[in-house]
Formats: sequence, C-alpha cells, structure tokens
Amino acid sequence: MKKVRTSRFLAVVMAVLMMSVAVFALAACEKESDVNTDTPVAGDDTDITMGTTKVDIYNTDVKLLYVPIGDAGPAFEMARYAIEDTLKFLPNVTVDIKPAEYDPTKQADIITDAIGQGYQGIFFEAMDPIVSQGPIEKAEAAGIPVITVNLNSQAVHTLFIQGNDYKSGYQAGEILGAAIDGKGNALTLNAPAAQAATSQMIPGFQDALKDNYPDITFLEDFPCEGWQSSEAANNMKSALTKYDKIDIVYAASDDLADGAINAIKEAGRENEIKVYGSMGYPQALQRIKDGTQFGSYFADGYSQFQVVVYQMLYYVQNGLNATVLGYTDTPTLDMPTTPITKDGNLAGSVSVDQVIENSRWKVVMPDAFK
Amino acid sequence: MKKKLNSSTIRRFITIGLVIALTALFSLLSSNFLSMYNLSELFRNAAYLGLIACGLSVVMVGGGIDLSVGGIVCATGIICVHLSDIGLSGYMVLILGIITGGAFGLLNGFIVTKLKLTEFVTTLASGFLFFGLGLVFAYRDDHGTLMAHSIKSNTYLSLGQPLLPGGFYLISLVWVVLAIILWVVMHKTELGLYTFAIGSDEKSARMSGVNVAKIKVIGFIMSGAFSGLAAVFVTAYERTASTSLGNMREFLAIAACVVGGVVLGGGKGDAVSAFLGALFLAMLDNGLRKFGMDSYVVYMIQGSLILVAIAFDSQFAKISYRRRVKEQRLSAQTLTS
Amino acid sequence: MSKEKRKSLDIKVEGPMKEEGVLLTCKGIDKSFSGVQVLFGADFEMNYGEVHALMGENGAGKSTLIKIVTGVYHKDAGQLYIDEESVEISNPIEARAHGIAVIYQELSLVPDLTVMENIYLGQELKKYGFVEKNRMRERTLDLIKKYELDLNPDATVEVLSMAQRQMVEVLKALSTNAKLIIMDEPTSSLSAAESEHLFRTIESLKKKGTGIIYVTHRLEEVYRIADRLTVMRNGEVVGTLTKAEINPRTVTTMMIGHEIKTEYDVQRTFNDDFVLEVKDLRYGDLLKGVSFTAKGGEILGIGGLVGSGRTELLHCIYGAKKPSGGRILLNGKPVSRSVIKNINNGFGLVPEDRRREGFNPLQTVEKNIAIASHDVIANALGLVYAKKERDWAEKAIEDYDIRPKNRKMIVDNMSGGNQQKVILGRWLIREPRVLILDEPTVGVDVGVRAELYRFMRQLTESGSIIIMVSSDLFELVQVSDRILVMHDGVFFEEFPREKATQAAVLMAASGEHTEEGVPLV
Repeated sequence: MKKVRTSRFLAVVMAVLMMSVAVFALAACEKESDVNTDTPVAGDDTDITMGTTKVDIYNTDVKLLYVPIGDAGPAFEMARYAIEDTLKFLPNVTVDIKPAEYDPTKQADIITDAIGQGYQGIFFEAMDPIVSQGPIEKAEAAGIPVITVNLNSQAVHTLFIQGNDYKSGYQAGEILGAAIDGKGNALTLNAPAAQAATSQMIPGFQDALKDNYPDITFLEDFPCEGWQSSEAANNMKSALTKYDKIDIVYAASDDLADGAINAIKEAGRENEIKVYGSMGYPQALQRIKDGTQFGSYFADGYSQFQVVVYQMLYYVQNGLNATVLGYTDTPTLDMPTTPITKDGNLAGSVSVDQVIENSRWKVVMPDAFK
Repeated sequence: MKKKLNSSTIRRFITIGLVIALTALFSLLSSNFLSMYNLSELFRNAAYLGLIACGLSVVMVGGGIDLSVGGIVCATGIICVHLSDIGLSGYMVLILGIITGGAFGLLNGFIVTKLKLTEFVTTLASGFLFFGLGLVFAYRDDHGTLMAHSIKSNTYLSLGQPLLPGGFYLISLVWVVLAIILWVVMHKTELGLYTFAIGSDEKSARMSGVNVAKIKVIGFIMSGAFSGLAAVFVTAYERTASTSLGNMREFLAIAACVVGGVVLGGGKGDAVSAFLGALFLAMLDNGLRKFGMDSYVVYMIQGSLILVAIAFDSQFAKISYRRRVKEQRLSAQTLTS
Repeated sequence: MSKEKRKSLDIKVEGPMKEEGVLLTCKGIDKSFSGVQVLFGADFEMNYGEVHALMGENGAGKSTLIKIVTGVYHKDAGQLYIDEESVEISNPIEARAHGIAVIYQELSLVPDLTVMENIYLGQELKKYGFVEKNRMRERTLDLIKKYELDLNPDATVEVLSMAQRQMVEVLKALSTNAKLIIMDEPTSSLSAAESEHLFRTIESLKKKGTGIIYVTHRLEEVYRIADRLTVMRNGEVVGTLTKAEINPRTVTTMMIGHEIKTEYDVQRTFNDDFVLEVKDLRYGDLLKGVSFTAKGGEILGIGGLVGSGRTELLHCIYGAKKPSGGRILLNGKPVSRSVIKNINNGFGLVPEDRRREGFNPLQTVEKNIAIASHDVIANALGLVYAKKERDWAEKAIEDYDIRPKNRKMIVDNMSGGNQQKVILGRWLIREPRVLILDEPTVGVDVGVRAELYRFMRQLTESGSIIIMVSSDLFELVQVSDRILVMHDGVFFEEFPREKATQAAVLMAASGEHTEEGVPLV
C-alpha cells in the first residue's frame, strides 16, 4: 500500500516539475512573442511585390535569423559578439540565434520553420550543401534573402561570404616551405572525415608545396574526429613513432594544432617540428607569441559578421534577394586571409602582436591573454 | 448491451486530448502555428518520425524493442540514392527501399529468434552495423573522403515535393493511411492478436500454439520496412542521403511510442498510439521553436513529458486494474443470471 | 484448409457428448529414465463423467504417468486405450486430437487478452483473413452458459481471480472438444473460497460427461469431489478406492507404506537461555496467527502442504517479508525487520529456490561462500582481501567436505548436493545462532543428505536454533526434535519426536487430527 503511495507521489512530483518547466519556458517566450506579432509574416503574405517593397530599416522592426552549427567555441563567440556589437547602433533590428546542434537535418528544419515566422533575412553556415538546398530555395521563393557564411550550399541564394579555405592553406604552404628552406617532411591534421569535403585548406596546402617546394616530402594526412584536440594529439603521437623526421605540421584548426603541440612536447621534439594552425583563435595567438606554435592565419570573424549583417540589411532595405535579382548562380564575397607569424617577417605575414592589438579577441575572450 | 470504455480507449482519449490541448496552446501563443505552411511542415516532420514509430510499435507491442531503426534509415537512405543513380525510377526506389528496410528487419528478427539473443542487445549492435553500412555506401571523392551527392532522378525527387501548391507532402498522407491500416491489422487479424499475446505473456502464447518466432520476425520486418519507407521520403525531401541521416531517430521513435501509450514491455498500445505520440512530439518541437527557446529547455520539456507518460501509465494501469476487476464481477453476474 | 478447420470447430462448440462407459485405460505402463525405472506396470482406469483423484508423495510417479497419457513422454511398455480402443499417443498434439487436455499449475493464459481471445488463441475463427470476434464471442458465451460459469467473455484475463483463470483454461480445453481434462494440483494457488468455485466448475463438467483426472496432495479435496481415488507409491499403483472406501487412515497408509523409524538416539538438552519466540504472527491471508517457541539446541521441523504458509513464516522471521501482525522475539527482544541486521545478529536462511535466491550460479565457490560474510572478513575500510576470502572459503570446503575441493569451481557446474553444501556452508561457517532452512535437501542425493543432517546437528549442539521447513516427511520425522504441522495458515498439530510418524504428519497436513499429535486448533 505504502509503495503505491510513494510512486503516486513521484508521479505528482514529475507532473509538477513538467508544469513548472513549461510555465518557465512559456514565460521566457512571452517577451519574444510580443515582437513577433508586430512583424509582417513573409511566408504567408504572398502579395509582397518583390523588389518594390522598400523597408525603412532604421525605423521599422527588422527580424533576422542566424542558424550557427553549434553554440560553443571561439568562432561562435566572435560571431555573436560581432552581431551584438553591430546591433548596438540598430535598436530596431533583432537577430535570433538558433543553433543547429551539429545536425544538418535540424539546421534545415529550423530554416524551413523560420520561413513562416516573419524573418526578413536568414544567414548560416550550410552544414550540408544539399540538405540545405530545399529550405534555401523555399526561403528565396518567399522573398527572404539568404546569406551563407564560410560553408556554401548548392542552392542559388543571395550571397556566399567565404572565409577562403583554399587560399589560407596555400599561404600556409608557402610560409612553412620557406621556413624550412624548401627541404624536409610535412604532414597535415585534417577535419573529421565526414566534413573533409567542405574544407579546402589541406588541398591548398598540398598544392602550395607541389608548386613551390618539390623537395618537401608529404608524409600523411590525418582526419581528426569531432575536431577534437585529443584526437589530433593521438594522431600526432602515432606519426611521431612512425616517422623519424617531421619538419612541418599543418592543422586545419588551432585546436588541432594545440593537440599536436602537446604530443610533440611529450616526445621532446619541439625544436625539430614547426606547427601551423588555422583560424587564429586567442589561445593560438598566445602560443605564437610564446613561440610554441609557429603560425596560423587570421580569420577576421568580427569583420565577417559585421559585413553579413550590413549586407543583409541592404537586401532587406531594398527588397532584394536572389529571386528578385534573377540570379542563376550565387555571388561570392571572399574575405581576406592574413597569415600570422611571431614577427611577421615571412612572405606576406603579419606579426602576432599586431593581430592581438587589432582583433577583438582581447574584448571577446580577455582571459586568453595574460 | 451498453458498451463500456475500456482502459486503452481512455488512454487514447487522453493522448488525443493532449494533442488538442497543445494545438490550442500553440495557436493562442503564435499566430503562425495554424498557418497552412506551418501545418504542412509540421505534418512532414511528424510523418518522418511517425512512420518509424508506427513500425516500431509493432515490435514494442510484441514485447520487444528495436534500437536499429535509426541505422536502418541511414543505410536504406544511402542505398536508395545509389539505386536511383543506376537509373531506377523513384517509384522503383520506393518499393526497393521498403524491401531493403524489411530485409534489415528480417536480419534482426533472424538473430533474435534463431540465435536467441535479446532484442535490446541485438538491435543495439545491428543499429551500429547499419550505420556503418551506410558509411560504406556513402559517396566519396577520389581521395576517399565523403562528399555531398545530389539525387538526380526527378521521379524520386518528386516524392519529397509538396502535393498541393500550398504544401502538404506525400509522406504525411502515406503516414496517415498506413497508421490506419496498421491499426486494422493489429486489432482485426490473427497477426495482431498474436503480437498482443506474445507481448503480454510470451510463454502462455507459445503454450497456446502461437508461433512466437514467426510473429517476432514479422514484427521486425514491419519495423524495418516502415523505417525504409521513411528513409525514401526523407532522402527525396533532402535531395541527398547525408551520413547523419537517421541519427538518434530510434530514441525519438521510442519516445513517441511511449508518449502515445505503447507500454515498454509490450501488450498495450498500437499504431495509432505511435501516430499520436509522434504527432505530439513533432508539434511540441515545432511549437517551442516558434519562441526561440534554447534547445536545452526543449530537451527538458521532452524528457519530463516522457517521464510523466511512463509514470502515468504505471499509475493508470493500477487504477484501471481495480476498476476492471469491479466491472468484470458486475458484468459476469448480469451475463450469467 | 481453413474451411475444414472451421468445420471441426463447429462441432467443438457442442462440447463433449454425454457418453457412458470407460474413457481411458492404462495397462501395465513401464517407464525408465536413463536406466532408473520410475513406473512399474501402472494400471489406471477412468470413466466418462468421473472425477478420478490421483495421489502420492513426490516421486511416486503421478506426473510421469500423466505425461505418458498426454504424450510428453513415451512409455517403455504397456498399452493405452481410449473408448476401449487401443491408441498410441506420441506427442501432445495427438493427445489433444484424442480429446485429452491438461491444465497446468502455471496457467497458460495471456493476461492482456480477453477471456474470449484467450480461449480461441491459436485457433481463431477467421474470414477473409480477419478475425471474427463476434462469432468467437457468441460461442464463448454459449460455453459459459452451458457450464454455468461466472465469467465475462470481454474481461481481460489479468483482472480475473485465479479460480476464474482456471475456468478460462477449462473452457479453452472444452473449446478443443476435450473429453478428458487433467488438472495438476489446481488448488495450490487458490484460496478456500476460490477452490469452492473450482469445485462447482468441476461438478458442472462432470454432469456434462467430461472425465477429470485430479492430481492433488490434499485429502479433504478428494473427499469433496472425487468419485474414485488411485494412490501411487514408488512408481507403482498401490490401489484404487471407491468413494465409500476413502478414509484418511487408509489413504495415508497406502501412500507411506511400511514405516521404518530409527530409534531415538540421544536425550537432547535444550538451552532455556536462548529462545526464539513467535507470537500471533500474521501475514495477509497466509498466516492467521502463528505462535511457537524454539529453544537453543533444537531442530524445529515445520510440516504442511505447499501453500499452507510455511515459506512466508520463514521469510517473516528472517526479515525478508513484513508481517501484517504479531511479534518475533529473540531472548525477549524484538527481532529486526532488516535482513542485514539479522544476519549480523546471527540469522541465516537457506531458501527453497536455491538457484534464484540462494547463490549466484555463475560465481565461484569462493565468492559464493564469502559473500554473506563480508562483514566478518572485511577490514575497517570495508575492503576485502583476496587472501582472507580464500582462507574463509578453504575452511568451509574442508569443514563441509565440498567436492570437488576447488574454491575456483563455478557453482553452476557442481552437483545439486554440493551446491547445497556450498550454500549451507556459507551460513554454517558463520556459526549462526538461528538458522532457517526451507526444503534443505531438494535434489540432494541420499549420501549427501546424511552429511547435511550431521552438520545441522553439530550446529545445534553448540546451542543454536534450526528451523526447518520440509515436504519430505521422512526427513521431517527423522531430523526434527519437534514437528509443527501447518494447515490453512495456522499450526494444526504438534508432534514430539518420539511420537511423530510420516503417516500421522501427512494426515495432520491434510487437516485431519491424529492420535499421535497434540492438537493446537
């Protein structure tokens, strides 16, 4: 008898818990739904006359959506900071951020869903070039401009703002090749196998070696699952036991470079091997300053997302998107890629101090620099 | 004689009530919820989950579990894209997708009944196997790295396009029809009756002359075939088979069944329970997304709901048991007197 | 195919025709299992419309005979006749075809299905592939009315009482046109009122001409319903009694045969300073106020039929079940309700189902012996050293002659007798003050039994109490210092060692007072 009562109690507790979660959740959205009701519904109102609907972006509410791959890591931090910073001077513009949790289907679902929700512009990193195709086409057909960032989609859309992977890889090849006078052995730490298709850094690096340094031997390319630093360390360890002489290591991200550096330190071969990363994350900048990492490239996330927001507002203001403009191909905007070394004395590179001073990392992640 | 409501009918009404309550809540809170566009997308998403859940419900009613449905969706999806690439039309791919999924289910059923392994372990393992198989068949470039690959066949792609200009997808229609057919099968045929029997008490069913192994294998084939069907529609909609296809779908499908009233351990629930459960979960997901809620809140709400459903079912079983004992006594007296 | 099937089912609903005369005859049935003969020329005969009871102690050969009739076993010699025609029954399906149905102790019903669905499970009426529920329901209702049963065809089986479930089983048998229904101890899980229900069902079947073989341990049921009684002993049919001839003394004598009783060896001394008292203990419907006092140095035997509340009594004393009333005192202090505390205070239990409750069959002898003694062999931090565990196990293996003498042996691979030694050894090595044994020698061969009895005696000589429940009358009479017989949830009679005989204990267990015992109710 008593047992029955305890389990009934449990059921009541669960119900109360659920209710409170629901109430909390609904309370949280109360504010946002206020905003929702005032904005026009783009998906439903098909009577929008395309190209002629000018929006006063400084006096009427504008609602944009950003669907990042995930909601963690320095790149996301910087993107969010850049967006918030930009919006400080645009009080009537809101950007909702709905992370896709590393699932392309989910990303597509979020975008599809947003089309009926009154968003006037959508931007995101397209995790899958094909899965994202349907939702983008729907959004563009509904008059919503879509901008992809860093990762492109097969669908024709309003703009692709590219971080230019290939070029940064090529630059890394040139710089590392020069650093070892065109002689030695090279290896690379790549993106996870499933995503390798979307990143062009390693091919760029390989091409640079092929074109300029025929005496450098390319040893091996290691895919690193989950972009994990520990995976990179494991791969580096096996490389260190496998190859007697390694001169340069190029990593597709600074996290991977970090793993490699740790493995090399453990093996006591830090004087022999130069490690070059990508993205220019704050920890990497600090490592370059300390001399443990040879270099990286500076992807200016701040400028990139500021451009995304302003470019988007331009389309909204003028009622433009790929459909209205009659695009048959997605236009691409290449962002600059700047190589970083400690002193900035190698082919086209800038010094790490200069980057630390001029990037926003000091503001976004101040703990990274001591 | 006046027909009294039995406990499964009451449970059904509760689920329907929840779906209606949720519809009312979301349509009050968001002006876009009841728009044609949103409903069409909602039903597409619900159908993806719901087709898998309906097939799974057959196994679950029979007292088993199938954790491999996600893997089946992944492998079948990728195989289907290959089939269309060798020149088969979308309709052939649809049929072959169902057969492929069913064959995976047959493998599960074979291992469970012939090698006498438990459903949980078997399908957990075969789920990994099918995911792996999907990666084996995945499209790769010359370096061996995975690459995106679009479906070329127009008939195949048309399966994923809306039926009407305003929306509404074929998958949703198929889902509704199949759920009804499956309901009839479960309640009006020997197969369904035997499935309930083995889910309720396998040993007794066996002693009554039920071919338990055969029924279990058919259950797994159904589960696999429904997952295969879902895979065809989803790949058609997404225009490709990505390697993350079907990822974690098995748990969502189990959750849908449980919320709808299919009892873990078997004997209770049916395809309509799975239908309503999937609709409810998809609606929750869709509705909560309207409010830009953080994903952890959505997870918390979903998790609590599943717990509430299980806790409710165990309490409900006790209450309705007592009620039915009383009823049986009363009606037995009136019948015999 | 389906048409034929339906045709045969059409006849079924009529039920067995009332027929006169001999239904089943068994003549000179022999059966051996791997060289050991278990049936010696068994003869058995029964008529239409007769309830024929079959009695005998465990191992008397009742189940073997029944399994031969139902085609589960094959006879070595002899002949079966149905309707006075010689038949061969080589499997259960053939038995069914001959109209023989068995209702097992563990029922074969599906709880979530309705009465009607259960009755037709495996033989549904179908049309165009769809199950015809209405027609099945009508036929079920016809059957229910015909036999005047208290059942609703649409009720799910899980809500039915055990007696009603048995009715469903009976209906299921009748729906396959059974003319002979075998019931194997059908009342063992029924309450008195439910049993009465079942008896009425049996009466009703009898009137319609169905023959019933009723296997039981309960004499009072035999009086109540049987037309004839056949008693078996050691694989032989001792005799068949007509209703008028059945009386307790005759039946028990037939069951036990000639009793050999060893002389009472030593005058035992009991220690009055160490006393376990149970006062008015109640547990649901199973224990209705049980009281006794056991003294140090005593082996107290508890007899009674399965289901009389014996096991529940032991579990209540041990703390594994919570009594609904009454008190349990050790030396005047209440005994804890926690098994762990009781073990620390010197209690031990050897359960009936040793595979499920007694030991972990896949572990080694060493682990199985040490597991109950971790409080003794663990250090202050609760860590157990392998060496201590080993010493502890080796001592037990040596003291209690566990074979093979290998502490790493997996218990599952040992003989039943040695398994029992392991589990007994686990407790004995702790020198428990109160050791509770539930059927301690089931599946143990004779030689090992004697050893186990010796170990038990050694323990009581050190002043401990042993409480032993046993269905083995010989064991109960030989080993116990005193025997309390349970019947219907109370102690029915008490036998001092000198006066206890197997026949008397059996009679008391069946609810008949004897000259030898001291009546307690």
